[in-house]
Amino acid sequence: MSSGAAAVQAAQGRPRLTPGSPLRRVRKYFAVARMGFATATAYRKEYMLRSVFLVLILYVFTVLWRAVYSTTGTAVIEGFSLRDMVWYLVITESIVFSRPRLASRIDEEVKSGTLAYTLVRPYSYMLFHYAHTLGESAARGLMSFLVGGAAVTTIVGPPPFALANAGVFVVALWLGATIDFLMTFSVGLLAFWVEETSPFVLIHDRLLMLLGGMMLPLEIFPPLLRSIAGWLPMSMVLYAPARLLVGGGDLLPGRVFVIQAAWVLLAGAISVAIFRAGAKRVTVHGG
Amino acid sequence: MSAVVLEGLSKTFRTKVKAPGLRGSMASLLRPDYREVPAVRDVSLTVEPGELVAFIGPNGAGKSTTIKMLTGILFPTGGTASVLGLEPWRQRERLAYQIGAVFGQKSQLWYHLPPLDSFNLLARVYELDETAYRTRRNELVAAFGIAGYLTTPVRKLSLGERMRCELAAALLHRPRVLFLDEPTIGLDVLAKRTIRETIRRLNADDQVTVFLTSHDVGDIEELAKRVVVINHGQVIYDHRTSHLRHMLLHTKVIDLLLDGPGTVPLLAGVNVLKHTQVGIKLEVNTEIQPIREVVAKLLEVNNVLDVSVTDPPLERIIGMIYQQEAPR
Repeated sequence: MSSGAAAVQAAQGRPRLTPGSPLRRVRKYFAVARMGFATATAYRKEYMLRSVFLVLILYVFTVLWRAVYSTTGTAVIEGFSLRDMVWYLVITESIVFSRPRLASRIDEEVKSGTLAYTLVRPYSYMLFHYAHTLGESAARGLMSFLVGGAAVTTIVGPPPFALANAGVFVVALWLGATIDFLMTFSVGLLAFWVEETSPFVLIHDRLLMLLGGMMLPLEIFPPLLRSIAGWLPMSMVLYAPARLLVGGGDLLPGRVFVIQAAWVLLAGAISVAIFRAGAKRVTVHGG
Repeated sequence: MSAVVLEGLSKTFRTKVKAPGLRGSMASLLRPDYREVPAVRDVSLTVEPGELVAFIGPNGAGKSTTIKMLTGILFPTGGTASVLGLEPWRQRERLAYQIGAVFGQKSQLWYHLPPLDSFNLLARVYELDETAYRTRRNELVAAFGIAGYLTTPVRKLSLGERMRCELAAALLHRPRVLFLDEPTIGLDVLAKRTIRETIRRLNADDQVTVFLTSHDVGDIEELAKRVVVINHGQVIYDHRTSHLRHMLLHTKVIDLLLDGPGTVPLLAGVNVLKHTQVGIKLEVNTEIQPIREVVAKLLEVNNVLDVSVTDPPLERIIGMIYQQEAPR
């Protein structure tokens, strides 16, 4: 049937016979992302509590770094002033705080068989979760950044970065969130084969925090570790966007985007393969 | 064109069998031993558009497996099926736009958000036209009487309220075939009635084909005009619902309320269902023993306060069908 006829049918309130235009399909996932955003803001108290916890962490780190800077007697460490360092932490911590518990959610959907029921709906399971996760992360990340930022402004002063960096930051943040989604999604899908995915989740989270540069920018790592970590997907999720926003380093946006795009392709191919193999188990063995 | 056609549909699961204990675990790791478990065997069935069919059977009979194949979630191992002219497992996404499903034990609404948010999202998911969506939504909100809790988060709704919203959500895109899996499970009498009435009305007005599974005899009796019973993966009964009653046409149930412990006269074709200090319940095969004689005998030997003669409950009839051997 032509899309025109389908549109007429839809207008008359009959169900569509075929998927609609690409625009409609994209809008579908935007609507899902909005639901994610709304879900993340549904519980105001929990939302606030997370922010309080974030402020506490940032306060501790600010005190620690202040001590480090004063004992070494330098104003700049590896290109970071105290203010740079603290604002770098605001960004990486906000990203970490924004991550929903995606892996355990997927794990639960695989085990309970809910995944099978989503196949009755006209959307892609992966894109659905991608959109939902981005929506949720955006809500939480924004809140964390605003609260955390306001808190550190009172201690070390306003953000050191130029507004001009915002453009590359947003692109790097989005690509990084995509890599993070693909990796976490894959970890959750392991539930098709193993009884308990939480050890994998734990390892993945720790690796992200350590190698991703959540507490320390990569510049502070030992040279060998720094060069390895610089190529790994974890640093593309946390370090790269944060470093690009703080600015002043020798990290080139173009280089970051290329590495990120490569990881998106690789992690995307892997998670699609895992999902297909897993979905086959659903369709062959039952939900 | 028929709405749903199944021809020789079969599904066999392969499950790993493992001997107990550590030794068994090791053996199964090295050389896994598989056993074939037939879940659905050679099921043929045709459902016409606008029909309301109850698809029932004991637990593990193959109902859900069949529904999963019809919605495209599972691949069959044999036979064919077509839903609205589409092959579900090959054309799952195209079919998804035209069918709806409610699974009584799985919520499809966003738990933390009000139902209205879920409705709006589904309108996008099913790519509905904005005005058509609003008209349809208002229609369903009125039909299910859910206007009062459209903006209350789902987690704060009672089960009955939530189920009505679930059904409305599944009907927003005007599906032509609706799969209902235990839609009234755990609901109170009033909520069940609202849901049954609305399903019946929608089926009549919109000619929606309804494929219903339920363990609730009331659902079957009040909704379905046709009953298909599946057991051990095979269809063992497929008739009009009214036909069920004829199955036990020659059986009556006598209920006596007594003034003290009574006695049951020994008669052929009479089966004691219950005998307490104050009452007797009997089942009589009227082909062997005329009901008149049994009642007369009972009144003769007992001090009867009250007596009633009824048909056996539908539940018992269905139980008898379940116990029948599957046809070979």
